[in-house]
Amino acid sequence: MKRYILFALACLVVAGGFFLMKNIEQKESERKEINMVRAMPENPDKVSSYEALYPQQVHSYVKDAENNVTSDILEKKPNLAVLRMGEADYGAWLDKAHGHVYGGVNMFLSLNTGTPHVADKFEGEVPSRCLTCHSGDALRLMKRDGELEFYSKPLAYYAPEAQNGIGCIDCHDPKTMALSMNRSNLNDSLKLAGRPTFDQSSHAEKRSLVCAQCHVLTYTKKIDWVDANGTKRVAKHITNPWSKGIGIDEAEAHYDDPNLFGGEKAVHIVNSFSKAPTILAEHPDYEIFIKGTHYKNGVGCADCHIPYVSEGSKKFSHHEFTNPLKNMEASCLTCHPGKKEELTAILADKRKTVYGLGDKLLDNVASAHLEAKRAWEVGANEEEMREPLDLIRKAQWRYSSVFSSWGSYIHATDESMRLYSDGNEYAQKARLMLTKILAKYGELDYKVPSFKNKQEVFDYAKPANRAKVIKEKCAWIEETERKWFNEAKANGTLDDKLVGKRLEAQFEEYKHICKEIEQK
Amino acid sequence: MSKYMTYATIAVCCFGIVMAIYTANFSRVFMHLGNDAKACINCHNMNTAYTTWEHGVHGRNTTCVDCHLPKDFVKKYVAKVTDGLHHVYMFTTNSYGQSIEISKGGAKTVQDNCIACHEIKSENVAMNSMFNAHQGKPEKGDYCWRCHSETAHSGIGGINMTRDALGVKNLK
Repeated sequence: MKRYILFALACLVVAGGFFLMKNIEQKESERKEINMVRAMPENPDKVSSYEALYPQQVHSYVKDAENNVTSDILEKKPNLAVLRMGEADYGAWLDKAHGHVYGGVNMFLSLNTGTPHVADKFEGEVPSRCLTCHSGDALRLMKRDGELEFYSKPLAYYAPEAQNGIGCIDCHDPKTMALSMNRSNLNDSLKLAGRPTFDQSSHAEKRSLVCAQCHVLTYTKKIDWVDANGTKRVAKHITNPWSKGIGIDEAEAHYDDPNLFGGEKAVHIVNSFSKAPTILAEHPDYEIFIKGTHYKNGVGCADCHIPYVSEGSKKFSHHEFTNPLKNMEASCLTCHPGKKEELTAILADKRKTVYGLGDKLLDNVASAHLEAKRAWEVGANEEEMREPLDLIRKAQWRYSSVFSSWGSYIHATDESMRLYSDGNEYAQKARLMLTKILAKYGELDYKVPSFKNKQEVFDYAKPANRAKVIKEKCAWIEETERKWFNEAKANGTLDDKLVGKRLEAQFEEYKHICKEIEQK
Repeated sequence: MSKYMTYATIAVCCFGIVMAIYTANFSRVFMHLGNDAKACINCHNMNTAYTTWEHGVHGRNTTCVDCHLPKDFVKKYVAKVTDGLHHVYMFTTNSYGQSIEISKGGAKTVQDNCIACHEIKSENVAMNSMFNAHQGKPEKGDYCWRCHSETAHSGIGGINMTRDALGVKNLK
């Protein structure tokens, strides 16, 4: 009898367990069904394909297209033209960039890209590496042709199918919308700097790292490789100066290390006034941001620049990528509630202090350049000029680093002020030395010319071919770039539906380049 | 006859053991012993809680168990067993409804954990309670999230309110 009861009990328990197992199996399949990704955008390379799936995100992205006013920075800060004089035939050029939507078109329209048109020659032509960060088509083209092949082609080769701005796939996996990073240079550089790679990083860190794909310092790295046909090729790849760590001083140490640049220090622009071998920073946003108090407290780029907002009952991240101060309720005030006036006042104060230091540094560096020019004229020799020119290089590096990273005053106030102050120290030292040199050659009271507008700077510097280059560019925009743009429309690579008209409007906006020669 | 009965009992038990191992394996049961937040979304009705936590500020360096279970080792595992059995019952019988609310005991645990991490801040609140908006709250046993409702889970209540539940779908 006992055995019967035991058997019945065992059957009962196992039967119960069996039903539980069946229930768990059912729940598991429900879970899989709920978590399954149902929708894949038809064409993951085009932002408009995502519109039906993620309407709020896409609409907020398109809002970014409203940030389309061009401003000539040299017009506002003529002394900046002194610093950059010598970057090319045309002397100097600096535009304020527009939103991500315009990344591709604006790059082609800018004077800095010249007039590329030869598609079958690589050496001496503008390389395709510009597209890496300026075009949303770069990742697609890299995948299609292979990375090294992509970097071994001229810009003109890819131009007719690379007119889109930065889009969804640049930061997201099109299937799940998870953050994804496909620019190999960032992972290589993170490893170089001894940091975890993108995939090893936390979700919070990834919310900054996707931006660090492009908002960092970069330079060209040549790679020799052999293609499938056995031909020797040279790729102009992109890389970051992070071998000594991530930061402005660290990057300077990298550029100053002769072992990395074939026995000499890296030089980007030999200033045409002072002959100083300067290096140029292009928006080191990530480098400066990680030194700031927000980053140190776990805040990422996306927390303020892609803040969460609500529309009805739906919470979503607002992809306008603009100045967070335009919507403080969504950005600042989520962590600093009820402090709008206080914060606005603090930020105005910080901006004033940092920008003030920056303007002083700019004037000092520009004066140092012009004093060095005078020193060469009165007969200074290379030996005595080496040290002041090196100091100018250091000062200019600090200026261009902080200045070109627009939000540096809030990203890392202390770091910005430190860099500007250090820069001022170097510039003052250079000027003291230059004064001594000038005195040695009998120039006791040299006053540097002061410039009211950028035209005065160019009249003084007389860059070799400014008018010619601008004229060529204006003609090129109408002939070549418009042709490429229409080709991209015809071959279906351009995301015409959402922003096509706005991109086309940029052709008119950019005619301000040509105004300068029309006035003459 | 009774000899066969013994064999049958052993056979049924063996079947039961195999079944248990199989179920334990595919239901990832041992995950629930650790601190991984992903253990909580083994049940899909926690997707919203997970997503809102992951995208919120507490998603940076706290996990589910940091707030929802006692810090003390023994109490933690006792809570894991009792709460866990409750959750199993509610989930198996589909009786959890559209808006899951925290139990009284659970609320106390969370409140204690708020204070455990934000010690200095909450001490100030308690000491100054007669002067400020938090008047009398700690003594009365009021909870931090009556006011700070958006802090941990973005103030979202219903379990269907994060439509895409992107944080969950991102998991490989």
